[in-house]
Amino acid sequence: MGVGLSQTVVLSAFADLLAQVCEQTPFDLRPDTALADIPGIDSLRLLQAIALLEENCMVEIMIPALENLYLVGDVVDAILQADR
Amino acid sequence: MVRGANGHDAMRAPHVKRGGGVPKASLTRGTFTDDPDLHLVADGTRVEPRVMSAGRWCFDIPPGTSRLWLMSRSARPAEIGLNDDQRLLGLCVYAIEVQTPTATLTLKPDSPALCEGFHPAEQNDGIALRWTDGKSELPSFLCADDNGAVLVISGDALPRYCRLPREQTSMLGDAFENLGSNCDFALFQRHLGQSGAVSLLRWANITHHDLISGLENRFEGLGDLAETSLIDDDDYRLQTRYFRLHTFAPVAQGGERAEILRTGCATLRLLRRKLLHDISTARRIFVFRSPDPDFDHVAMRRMARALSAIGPASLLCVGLRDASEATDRVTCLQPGLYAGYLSRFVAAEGPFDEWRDVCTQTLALARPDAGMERWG
Repeated sequence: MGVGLSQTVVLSAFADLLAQVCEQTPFDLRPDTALADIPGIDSLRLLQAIALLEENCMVEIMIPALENLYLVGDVVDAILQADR
Repeated sequence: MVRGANGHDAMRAPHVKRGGGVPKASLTRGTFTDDPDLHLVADGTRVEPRVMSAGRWCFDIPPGTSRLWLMSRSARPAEIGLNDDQRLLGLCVYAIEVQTPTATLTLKPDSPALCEGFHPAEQNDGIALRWTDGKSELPSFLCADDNGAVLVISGDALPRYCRLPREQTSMLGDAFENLGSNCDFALFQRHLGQSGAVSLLRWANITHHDLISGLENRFEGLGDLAETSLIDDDDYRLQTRYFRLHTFAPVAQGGERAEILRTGCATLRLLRRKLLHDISTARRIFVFRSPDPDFDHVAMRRMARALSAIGPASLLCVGLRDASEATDRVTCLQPGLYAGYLSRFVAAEGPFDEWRDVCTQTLALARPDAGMERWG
């Protein structure tokens, strides 16, 4: 992924990874979806999805952003603003 | 007389936020939020409110709903600096009204139908009120109409809540981060009601020798596929050169081993970066506990030295000591290094009161140190 990341691409990838780690059918996520409202989510699964998203996007998010993730859009923004 | 959102004497319930707490999504960054996140859960489905005015929330109850919950953020006022009230409080309710096409029903705060998730009804300056605890079941007769109904809640919110919904952060537990040697301290944090941020060693088993070694080389190689193996037990575990860790993926569920390993390694790498960042920014005091007699003051000083090579974080080392020997639970061995003692380690059953004493005394000793004023 790496080059030309867009909000749409990251959002779709994140939804797929969340469905995978939460063992759910694919999610229809919006940027304003609260992370806490995602079925099957817990803090470890969220971290797993973010770690895989980092790997797929070939980026490393800024660690302080990890403590300010409340909405799906926060994760997407963290990836788009991450170090490459 | 100061008037609140509902026109009542604003001093009637000292905790409440004047203005009623409009339940809109707040994007403000930080530990606290003034958004009570009030919503319904109708047969498992979240229902957002339609705001009528400050201090009144209006919901459409879906037709045919059988179980209905009133949900919100919650907080213990004593833990967020409001007053000494130790109760877990969600919303201060003055009235619950249900409107159907044919009738309107109003429940007062002292209604005996309000049970689960409601604190006892109170009177304040002649005004009846009742606090929820953040997760309150509403009586079934409110939601039995097949045509749906409108639910109106009149109430007030706390001035602030911890931001994470339903994860009540204890300021005491939040000041510390577990380094091992097992999950005792994580269980204490859970006992405090702190679900806690995920961290590398929160649930890991690691000896003090391996922790010192890991800190000395900054956990180099952690999360490398070539250095990590997957072990089948009751669940999958990741074996690294430093420690072994649950993946929390049950073996019985099957799954691709390669994918579980890949996910585990990616997570370890992220958590390693987070640990090094947390140490370098010294936002918390790190805790290591061990009953090992070899974990003496020499080992504690060596661990502190390895930690300080990464950043200025403080370290609390906890060992065992007979209660009759202890005068103070915590002593300061050197700036930023504290030795604490418990009478026993019993994992899931505490001793939580002793852990609380150790943490409180450590904070009292640490406050003069740079960076810890925030916990004062």
